[in-house]
Amino acid sequence: MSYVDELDQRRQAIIADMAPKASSLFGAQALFVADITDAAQRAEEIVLSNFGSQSASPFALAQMGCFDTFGAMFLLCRWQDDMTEPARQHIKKVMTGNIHGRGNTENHWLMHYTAQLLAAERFVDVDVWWNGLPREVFLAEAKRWILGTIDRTARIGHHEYDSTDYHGWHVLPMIALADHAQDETIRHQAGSMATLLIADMALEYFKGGWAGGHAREGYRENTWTAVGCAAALLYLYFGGPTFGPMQAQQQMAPALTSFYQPPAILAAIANDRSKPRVVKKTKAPRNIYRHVHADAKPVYKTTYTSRSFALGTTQTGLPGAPAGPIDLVSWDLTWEGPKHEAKIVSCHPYVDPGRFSAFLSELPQDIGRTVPAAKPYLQFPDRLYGASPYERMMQHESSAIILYRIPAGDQHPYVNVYLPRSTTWRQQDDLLFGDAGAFFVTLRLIGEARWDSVHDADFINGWILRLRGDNVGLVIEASEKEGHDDLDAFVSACSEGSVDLSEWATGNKVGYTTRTGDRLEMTYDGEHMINGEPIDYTRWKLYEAPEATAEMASGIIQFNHAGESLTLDFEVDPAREMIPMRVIG
Amino acid sequence: MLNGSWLVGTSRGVYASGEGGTWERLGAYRFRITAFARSDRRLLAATGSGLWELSEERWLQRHDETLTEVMDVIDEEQRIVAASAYGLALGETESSGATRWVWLSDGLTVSQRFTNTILRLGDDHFLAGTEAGVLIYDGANGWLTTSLQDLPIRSLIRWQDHYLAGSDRGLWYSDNGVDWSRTGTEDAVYALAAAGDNLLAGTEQGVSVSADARAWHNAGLEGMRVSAIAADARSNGHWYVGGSPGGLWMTQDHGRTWVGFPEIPDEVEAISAAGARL
Repeated sequence: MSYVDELDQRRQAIIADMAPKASSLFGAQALFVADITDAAQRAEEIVLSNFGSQSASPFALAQMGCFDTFGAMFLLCRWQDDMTEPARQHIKKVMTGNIHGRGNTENHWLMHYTAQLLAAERFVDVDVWWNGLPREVFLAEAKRWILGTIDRTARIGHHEYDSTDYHGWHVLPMIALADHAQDETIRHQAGSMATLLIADMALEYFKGGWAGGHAREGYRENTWTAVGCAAALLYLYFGGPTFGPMQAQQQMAPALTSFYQPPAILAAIANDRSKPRVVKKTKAPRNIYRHVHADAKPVYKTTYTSRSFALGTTQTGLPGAPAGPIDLVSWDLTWEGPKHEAKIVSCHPYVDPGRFSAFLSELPQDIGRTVPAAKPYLQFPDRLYGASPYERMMQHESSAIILYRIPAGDQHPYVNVYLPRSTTWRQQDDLLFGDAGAFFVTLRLIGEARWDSVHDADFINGWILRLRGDNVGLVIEASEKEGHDDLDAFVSACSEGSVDLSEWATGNKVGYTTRTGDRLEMTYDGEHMINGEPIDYTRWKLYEAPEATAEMASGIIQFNHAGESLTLDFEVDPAREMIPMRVIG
Repeated sequence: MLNGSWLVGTSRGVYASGEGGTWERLGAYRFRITAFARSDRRLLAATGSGLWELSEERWLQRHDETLTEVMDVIDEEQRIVAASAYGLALGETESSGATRWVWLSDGLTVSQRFTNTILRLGDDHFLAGTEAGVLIYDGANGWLTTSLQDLPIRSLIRWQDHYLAGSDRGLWYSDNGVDWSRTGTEDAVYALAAAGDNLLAGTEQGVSVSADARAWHNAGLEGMRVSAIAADARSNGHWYVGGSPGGLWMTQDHGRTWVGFPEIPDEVEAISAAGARL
């Protein structure tokens, strides 16, 4: 079966599940491709009830969020010929007359400017826009930001990178622009960027999930195997072992009905498990705008995928305390399995209020209460996501060293290590060995460890190993089962003394010899060495993988797989100044 | 209405005072308001999501795709000076109606860029209260440091030929804007305002008042973080203050008694007195 046929098969299955219960501006798109006789009427009801309700204020301009404006404009652009006149007119009235919020994250601004551009290109009879500006002026602003952001991403990497929670809110606007922008340059560039963003998923796809580090994977879901809106796109574009609510999310419905579809080579890369793959990516620096003396450095990601598991880590490039993006996930070990049962991850649940005000402009004295009042889980002691300024790590293939130096006085002076309940664990000397079904895990915990249980509604359910102390961490290695009949044989074959902590307490250094004989040496805030050779992250490419390569700042990304190839050329001008980064993510 | 109204900027939009002590929401914009700039010609509101020119009929966008998280604003008629989390910027409105911004802070360090408050010293000459202290921007010479460094500055005011800076570590005093010395409270000072011959300060421990900027006494709301403050130039002892948290409060007797306004229950970071001008 061709990729196009596979894609269509999955698309039809999702639509059949979604259309009968469509209730959102995004889900409404499924109505028009399903066999539903009153699709236009139902879409009208959704538009009229969900979009731009007027307030009773004498200044009756309802303030709209970017999700709403983007959802409505994408719906209109795709299905205007099938929609009712009242629905079309309502969208036009709200888009040109209400007050629209731009938000404060990169995905917010992308949705905002995408919606505004699509509206300003269409509603040419409206001279003065909702914000008081001439239509042409605001159209030009939207074009500048969209093209500037594409250019920036092609040169130094995506800012709100690889976010399971928000990647879909980057992919969908690019698809909307590729399909519906009237500006030819934007249409072309957005189509290429949609492909690059989907390629980001393909390179780290693992059996329905997205392995490794993510700019944003929060809110108590990062121990799930299918996380966030990305789960729906991963299933649609690459398939997967599970089909359920996470794979049929209404909010990603526009991807089901779009004209754009990704090139087949990306699905082939995503699903190729014929041999292990190391993917190295560079991403744009985190946006930290106070409390620190230096700008953040670029993000460097390493992800290793094998037949049965994927291990990914991140050099987050953060400039020091209190900078700690609140929903960043720096590493995880991922495999196929039910929710909660196929992830290992660790986190120092750093809670200094400065981590909020480092990238939110509210008063630092106030923000430690206002942000957690709305999102109390951001301060939970058992938290498993969110960056810590005291976490460092390195990776070589299927092994990683993760170290923490937590200063005295930290409110949560420990590290949470999450382990699934269904994995069979065995302890021998200082090592933990796990049988995860298709592969084995070796864990060396550094510091005093105590087993505990974590069970938070449907969000988290597993073991937490709490590592207490100032100088803690872990060494982890995953190994395919080949060559070992069972866990006993695997444990027996483990060489003693593979983890070297002799210089950890005094010299900040940990060494590890992998089961295949490679030597990792990591100095906290110092060099990362593999077999005696230091890793120079500053020389990394934008993409470096067997199937993908791109030099920094070139804007040219090449993919190849099994004789097929794909080149994305964003035609960047290195001499041109990049658009300034003014959003968080 | 606006010219004769008090304006209150909250974490969820703007309120304008009406007849009989009432307050009405001005426009549907519900995001955070950090500062106002009033001139004879227009009213500007600095917001978390950009800069807007406010009228009763419509809010007019004055930011572009580079300006956001605006913390303070000065209206110079021909151009606008904006302080933001990303630095200081100068905006000029083109004939097309677009206001385009030129950035001045790009060479500074991270916390030096984050500008909470600005004070105009002269043509192309500003005091900038940043997260890393007070800096001086001089169009001819660029950025100059002052003796007040390495602490967040929340408010600046020129008062009787002196300069005062409210910081997270108390109040600071200068005769020239370059050399600073501590004065008054050591509590964080978020807002400063002139009230006749007196000076008002919104602090971590309520309202303080001084006749000479050196000796201060508390004037109520001791348990409140007072983040905005303004005085009625036409009525002695009539002040409005805002808490973060705490909402809007008013006194008409120099702070002996205070009354809160339950219709404005949000954090208040900006207050503009009726009839106020640059």
